[in-house]
Amino acid sequence: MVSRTTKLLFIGPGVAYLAIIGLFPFFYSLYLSTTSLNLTRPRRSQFVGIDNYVQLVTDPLFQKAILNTAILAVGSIALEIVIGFLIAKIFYEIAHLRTVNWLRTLFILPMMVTPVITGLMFTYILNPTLGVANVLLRMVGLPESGWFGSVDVALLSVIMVNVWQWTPFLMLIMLAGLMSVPRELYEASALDGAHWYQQSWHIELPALRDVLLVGAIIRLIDNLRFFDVVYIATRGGPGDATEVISMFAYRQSFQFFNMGYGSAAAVLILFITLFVTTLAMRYLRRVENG
Amino acid sequence: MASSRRSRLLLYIAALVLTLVNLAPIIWIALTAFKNRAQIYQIPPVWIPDFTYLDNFVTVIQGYWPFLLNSVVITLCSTALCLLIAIPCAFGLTLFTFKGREDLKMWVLSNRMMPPIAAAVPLYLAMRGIGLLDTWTGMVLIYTGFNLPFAIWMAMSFFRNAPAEVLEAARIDGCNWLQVLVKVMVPMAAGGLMTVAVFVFLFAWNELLIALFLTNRNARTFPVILTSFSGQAQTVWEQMAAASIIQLVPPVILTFFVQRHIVAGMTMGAVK
Amino acid sequence: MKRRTALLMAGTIMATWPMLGRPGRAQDSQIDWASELGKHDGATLRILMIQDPWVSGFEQLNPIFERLTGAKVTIDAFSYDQTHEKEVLEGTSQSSQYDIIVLDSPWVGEFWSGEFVEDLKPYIEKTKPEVIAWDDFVPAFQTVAEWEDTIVGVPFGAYFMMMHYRKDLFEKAGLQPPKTIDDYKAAAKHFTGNPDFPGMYGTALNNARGSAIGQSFFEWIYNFGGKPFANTVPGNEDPYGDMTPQFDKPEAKQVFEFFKEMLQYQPPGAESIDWEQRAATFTTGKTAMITAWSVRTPGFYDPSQSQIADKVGTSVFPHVEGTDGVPPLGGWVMGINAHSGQKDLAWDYIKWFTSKEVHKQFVLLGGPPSRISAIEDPEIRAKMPWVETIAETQKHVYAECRPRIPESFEIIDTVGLQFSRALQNQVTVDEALAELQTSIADLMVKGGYTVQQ
Repeated sequence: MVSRTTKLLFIGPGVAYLAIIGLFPFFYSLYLSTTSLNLTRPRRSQFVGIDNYVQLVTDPLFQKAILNTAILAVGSIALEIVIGFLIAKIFYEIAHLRTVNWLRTLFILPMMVTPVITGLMFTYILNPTLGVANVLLRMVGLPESGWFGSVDVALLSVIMVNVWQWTPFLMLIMLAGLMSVPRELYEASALDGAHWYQQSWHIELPALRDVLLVGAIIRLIDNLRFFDVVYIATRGGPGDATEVISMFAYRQSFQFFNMGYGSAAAVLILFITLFVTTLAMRYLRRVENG
Repeated sequence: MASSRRSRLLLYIAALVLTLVNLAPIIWIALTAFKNRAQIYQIPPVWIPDFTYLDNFVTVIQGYWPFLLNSVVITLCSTALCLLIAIPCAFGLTLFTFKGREDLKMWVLSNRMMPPIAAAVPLYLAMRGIGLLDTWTGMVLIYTGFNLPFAIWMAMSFFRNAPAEVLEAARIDGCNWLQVLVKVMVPMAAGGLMTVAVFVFLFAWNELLIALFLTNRNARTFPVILTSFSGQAQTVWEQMAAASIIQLVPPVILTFFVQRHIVAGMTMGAVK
Repeated sequence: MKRRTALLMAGTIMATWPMLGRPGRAQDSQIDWASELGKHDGATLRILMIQDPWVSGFEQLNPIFERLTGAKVTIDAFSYDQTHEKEVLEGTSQSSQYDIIVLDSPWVGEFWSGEFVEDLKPYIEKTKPEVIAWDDFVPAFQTVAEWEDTIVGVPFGAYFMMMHYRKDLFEKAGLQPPKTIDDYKAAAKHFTGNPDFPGMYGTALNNARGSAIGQSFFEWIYNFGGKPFANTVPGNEDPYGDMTPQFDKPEAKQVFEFFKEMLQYQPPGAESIDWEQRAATFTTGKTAMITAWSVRTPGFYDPSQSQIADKVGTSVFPHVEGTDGVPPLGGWVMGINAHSGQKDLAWDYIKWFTSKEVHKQFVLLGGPPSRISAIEDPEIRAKMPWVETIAETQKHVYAECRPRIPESFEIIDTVGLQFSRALQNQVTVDEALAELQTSIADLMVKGGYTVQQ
């Protein structure tokens, strides 16, 4: 029915374009990761096989980076789901009021802010000396915090910024999900005398399960390559408190110019992401077809 | 939940407060953009600045308008090019059947997962090799490539919903596939395709890492400028705030246009 | 600075140029730039620069060069890390995009081994001595510009670390600015939590992880009477001949413990204080004294940037009693991109900009003084009182205080990581030092240096 040529003409350009942009960097990074190349000592580069990977896996800083990234991902997503759910419920109840559309649109603005700007904004706001956050704390009588500068609070601060930016996303997803819950279910349980939180637990959450998983998977993938805010605000510090894997790769490749080692880190990040992605793809496919 | 008017009002107020709190950081930066250097360092802080003090905006625009222009051109061109390639591709992947189609679709999407760090150096060397470093052309080509997986996948989800009968009818009328795409499908999915365009635009507009490496004075984009306001000796907070607000204008405007479709966009069509 | 104002200032300078030359007449002759520089009509000279406050000084002076040679001058300025990145990437891709690049002192070895910069010795030898006046540069900085028998750049932005303190507060407390480290500790203690000085803290140090605290180690180790590597100490003829790390020595431990002890005299969030923050605590009146690079000093005295502008004093960097101090030295040299297609034009610019006359104008516009003639110039001294401290400081500085070998960045960052962890009590001081002793030794061995195991 559809000629081969037509198929090629329609799909070919897209696929070819992606092959070039996607495959070339991958294979080149793979190649670099087997060398000991440092850009400022180019003549001393040698083939080292998988040495870089071995060193990477036993590097305590990289291990800490993986741990931090995991904490960041899980912590952010958990908070985003809980807070997002509560706010979604609120917007759901007032959804029919007229100005709510505007309100909702305003609420989701943080999602559209460039991550770099998010980093810059909060570097200023959470600045211990110049920032308004500590001023507010003082006004309500609480002790000032070091925020990005305090080793105990730094990762939490990063999580907080992450949650600020992405809760609207989860909120929207869950709002959409809530709207597809049939009203009869509510009415039936109300007749049975259920309180609102029982309704949440028994009706809403199960209905949202699929939608939530989609959202969580997407957030997980983005959290794995979380970079901009850390780059701007903490550079992985204090100590290694906010060291995430992409920061590690960046430092190796673009501050020390250890291209070999840095590429190995980048490739490893890619593999981790692909692994998670494959799981995600399988699940999304099920959700679409189901 | 109870349907009393009072609880509705309380909820509305709660939503209002939450929205304001959520927007507070952005509002604070907007206020900062109107302050002068001395006010930035003032403790206690200046809560309401002088809104007629537009110096920061003027300085930033006067000094950096070429880069703003670069951002605009590169973003618009790469959006156009991306759609030009993505739409037929998505059309084909949705409507044509062939062996390995599902795997191809998966592979297309998996490209979105590439962390920019991994691509930065190879792309730098490649661009340098072909002589496209620091050019509009080079940046447009790269951004198109980065946006394709997302654009294709999203367009596919909109095409999937198109009623098959209408397409069938067009074929029976003797249209070739190109005509079906252009005369029937695109008009039908126009709303969704606009959404795709908006997201592609936003990605290119906000992108930093690739621009950092692949541009110099000719093609440097605005996000790179944002990072240049903090030097080793000082950070020019007030100008940085002004530049941030300028950078935020398109995303904010576009948000209002597509707020209905954002969820579908962000989950790539998995959730309507 | 707005374009129009800049042009106006440039015009004023050009109009008064002949008169400005006069005070210096006793020391050096007026140079006939017209014959000294070539004609480069239609060419564009491109400079890659660090975005430090004195960039506006460049912008004001460049029109003069443009008029003298017919060439156009453009400057691209970036943050510290971005400048480093860009210059290395440009260098490795052998790009001719920029003609002049600037090097921070620790980058010298790296840029030479990466083959990014031109050897300037032949150019200097071709240039008239009174134009280049090489020996007029701060002696230690002459050494900084030299590497493996070549000259990598010409000094133009020498930074000295000085103690900055609140004259008014010290007077009220009856204290002298700290000369020794014990003085420093005592003074910091005195001003922290003292009801006579409400809301005040003693000081602020560069504690932030990475380059901030990494460099801090190298700033203070000599002033505790120690050294980072076996041979890297003032007076040693072969500073990189033996790179055995000295983290197992008592002085290294003293530096770590000093930083830990000083945390209690610093404002909240001290653990992440970097150069910017440190200066902010001072200019907003939160701290009584800080050590800071001289590049920031003009800002401290400027009422539009500092709330304590009329209360600042400077003194020489403190050191341990009984030793000579080694105040930290830093700063920038101007080099020629090895792959530039306009090296002669670049050299014309460099020799013009760094000449005594133009350098003096640069300093008066806020640039860091890098020549002895500038440091001793009465006009400069009158306008910038802290230059007196610089004059004293430059006698004791050490060119290798931060290693200038290619591995420098990685060394400083690695030290920065462990130092920061020790400061945060993520590890003990001894553990951090032991870790550094082995990891830095490994780094040196990998780089082919001599290390006694």
